[in-house]
Amino acid sequence: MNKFKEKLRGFAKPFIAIIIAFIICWLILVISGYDAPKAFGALWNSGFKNIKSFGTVLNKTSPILFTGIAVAFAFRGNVFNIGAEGQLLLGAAAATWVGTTFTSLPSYLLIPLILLSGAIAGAAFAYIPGYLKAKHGVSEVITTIMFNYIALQFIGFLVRGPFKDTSQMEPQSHPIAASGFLPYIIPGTKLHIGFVLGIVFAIIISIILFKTYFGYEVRAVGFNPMAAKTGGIAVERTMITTMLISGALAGIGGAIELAGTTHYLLEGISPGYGFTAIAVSILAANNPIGVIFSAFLFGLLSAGATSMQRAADVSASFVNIFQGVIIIFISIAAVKSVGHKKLSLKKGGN
Amino acid sequence: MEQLASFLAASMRMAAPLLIAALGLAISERAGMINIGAEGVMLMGAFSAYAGAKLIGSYWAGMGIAIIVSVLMISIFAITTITFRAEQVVVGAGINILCAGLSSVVYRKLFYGGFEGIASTTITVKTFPELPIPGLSQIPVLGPMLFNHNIVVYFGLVMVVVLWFIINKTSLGLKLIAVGEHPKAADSLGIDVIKLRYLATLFSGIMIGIAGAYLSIAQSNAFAENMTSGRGFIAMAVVILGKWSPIGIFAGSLLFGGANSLQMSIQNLGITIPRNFVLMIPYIATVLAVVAVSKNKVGAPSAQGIPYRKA
Repeated sequence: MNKFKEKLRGFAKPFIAIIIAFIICWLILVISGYDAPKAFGALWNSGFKNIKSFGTVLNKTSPILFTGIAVAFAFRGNVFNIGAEGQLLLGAAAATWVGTTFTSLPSYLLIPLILLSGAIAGAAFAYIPGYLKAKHGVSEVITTIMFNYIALQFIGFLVRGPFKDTSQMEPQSHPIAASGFLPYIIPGTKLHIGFVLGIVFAIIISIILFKTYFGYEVRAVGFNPMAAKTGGIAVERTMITTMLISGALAGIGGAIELAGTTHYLLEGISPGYGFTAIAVSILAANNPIGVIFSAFLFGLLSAGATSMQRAADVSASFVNIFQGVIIIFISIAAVKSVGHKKLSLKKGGN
Repeated sequence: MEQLASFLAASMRMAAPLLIAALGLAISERAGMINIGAEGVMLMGAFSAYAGAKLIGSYWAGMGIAIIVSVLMISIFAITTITFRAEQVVVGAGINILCAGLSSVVYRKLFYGGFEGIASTTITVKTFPELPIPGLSQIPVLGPMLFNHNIVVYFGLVMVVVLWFIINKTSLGLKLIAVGEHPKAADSLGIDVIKLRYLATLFSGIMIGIAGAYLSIAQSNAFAENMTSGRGFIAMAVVILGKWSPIGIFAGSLLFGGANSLQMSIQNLGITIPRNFVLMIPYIATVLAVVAVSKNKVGAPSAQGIPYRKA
C-alpha cells in the first residue's frame, strides 16, 4: 500500500510541476500584453491539428528523446553532463561527413554507418570531460559547458569551410546522399524512423541501468562514489564509461536529426536540444522510460513554438521560460524522495 | 610600448565583467554555493540595465534596475537550494534556460513589439562615460590599463581590495570560510549557516547584475540576445583559477581579458585563421585553466554544493 502511494506521488510531481509552469507562463504572457489563449491555442493546434502535424511533433521529439536519455543516464551516475548540446552537434557533423562521403553505399549500410558515426563522435567529445573528471577531479559541469561553445564554433567553421555548399547563400553543408535519409514510416507525414529508434534506445538504456550489473555500478557510483569504491567498484572507469555512453546517445540524436529531418548541416541545427534534455530528464526523474513522455511534451512545445510565433507573435524563446520553470519546480520536488531512494539490483526502478 | 598599453587597456575592459561577477561568485562559493545560473542572471542583468537605461533615460537607473532584477533572479536560486535544498547544478541550469527565454521574450516585446518587429536597427542607449583619473591615467602602460575607464571598471578594482580586506581581516570573512569548509562546526560555534549562505548568494546577485549591466550599458550601448555568451560560466572558471581569493581572481580575470583581447587583435590584424577558431579561444582557455588548477586542489571550499541540514 505504501509502495503504491509512493508510486502515485512519483507520478503526481511532474504533473503538478507542468501545471505550475503552465500557469506561470500564462501569467507572464498576459503581463507582457500577449494574447495568451491565442498563443496556447496555436501551440495545441500545431501538434494535434492533423496527422501531418503530429508527425512533425514526433520528429521534434526524436533528438530530444536521445539527448534526454543521454542526460538521464549521466545524471544516474552522478555525472552532470551539461554538454549534450555539443555532443549532439558533433554527432550531426560526423553524420554529415559520412553521408556526403560514402554516397554510393546502399541505405542498409549507409544509415547504420551514419548513426554509428554520430555515436562515435558524441562519445569521443564526451570522453575528454569524463576523463578529466575521473582522473583529475576537474568539474565536468564547467568543461562540458565550455565544450558546447567549442562545438558550436566548430560547426560554424565546418559549414563555412570544408563542408560548405557554395551554391547556397547561408553557410550550410551539401545535403547527404538520399540513400542516407532515414525512411518515412507513415504515409502523408514526414515522420521518420528516428522516433521509433529513440523508444528502442530508451528501453535498452533502461534495461542496462536497472537489470545489469554494469547499470548497478553506474547507479552505485551515482548514489555514493565513496561507498561504491569501498564496495570494490572501479569508480573512475565507471564514470568515464557513463560519460561515453551519454555522449554516444546525444551524438546519435544529432545524427538522427541530420539524416531524418534537415539532411544537411547548418549552424542552427539544434535550437538547444541538449539543454532541453536537462528539463526532460529531470521531469522524468532521470528514468529513461519516463523520458519518452517528457521528451514528447517538449517536442510538442518545440514544434508549437514556431506556430505560436506566427499566430500570436510570441518569440519562440518563450518555450525556454517553460523549461526553466519546470526544472526549478521539479528540482525542489525531487529533494525529499532522495532520502528514501533505495538502491537495489533486483527490484529495479526507483 | 603604445601597442602594449592599448592591449592591456583592452584586456582590462574585457576583464571587468568577469572580475566583478567572479568576485561575487567567490563570496557565494566561499559560503558553499555553486551557482552555474550566474550566466542567466548576468544575461538578465544586461537586459534589465538596457531596458531601464532606455525607458527611464539614465544609465544609473539602468544599473539600479539591473541590480534589483538580478537579486530577484538569484533569490530563486537561493530559496530553492538553501531552504529547499534542491540540487544546485540543476537549479542553476534551470535558471539559465529561464533567463535566456525571459530576456528574449521581454526584449522583443518592449522594443520591437513582438517577434515580427525585430528589425536590423539597434536601439542604442547612453552609456557610462570614460572617467580618466587625473594624473594617474598619465602613467605609462599602467595608466591606460587601470586609470582610464568608466566607473564600473573602477568599482571592480575597488571591490578587489574591499573583499580582500573582508575575507582576510574581518570576522565576517572567517565566518564565511567556516561555513564553506565545515558548516556543522560553524553552526556549533553559533554561526547562522543559512543566513550567511543567503547573504553571500544575494551579494553575488548584486555583483553579477553589475557585471551584466556593464556589458549592455558601459562596454557597449545596446542589448543583444544571449550577449553574455558564456561569460557567467567563464567567471566561475576565473574563481577556480584565482583560488577563491580576490587578488587571484583579479589576475585570473586579466588573463581571460587578455585572451579575449588577443582574439580581437587576431581578427583585426587579418591573420588567416578561420574566424570560428579565433572565437573558440576564450572557451579553450577556460578548459585549460580549470585543468591546470586541478593539480593543486588547495582553496576549494569543502562543503561546496552541499545543502546544509540543521540537525
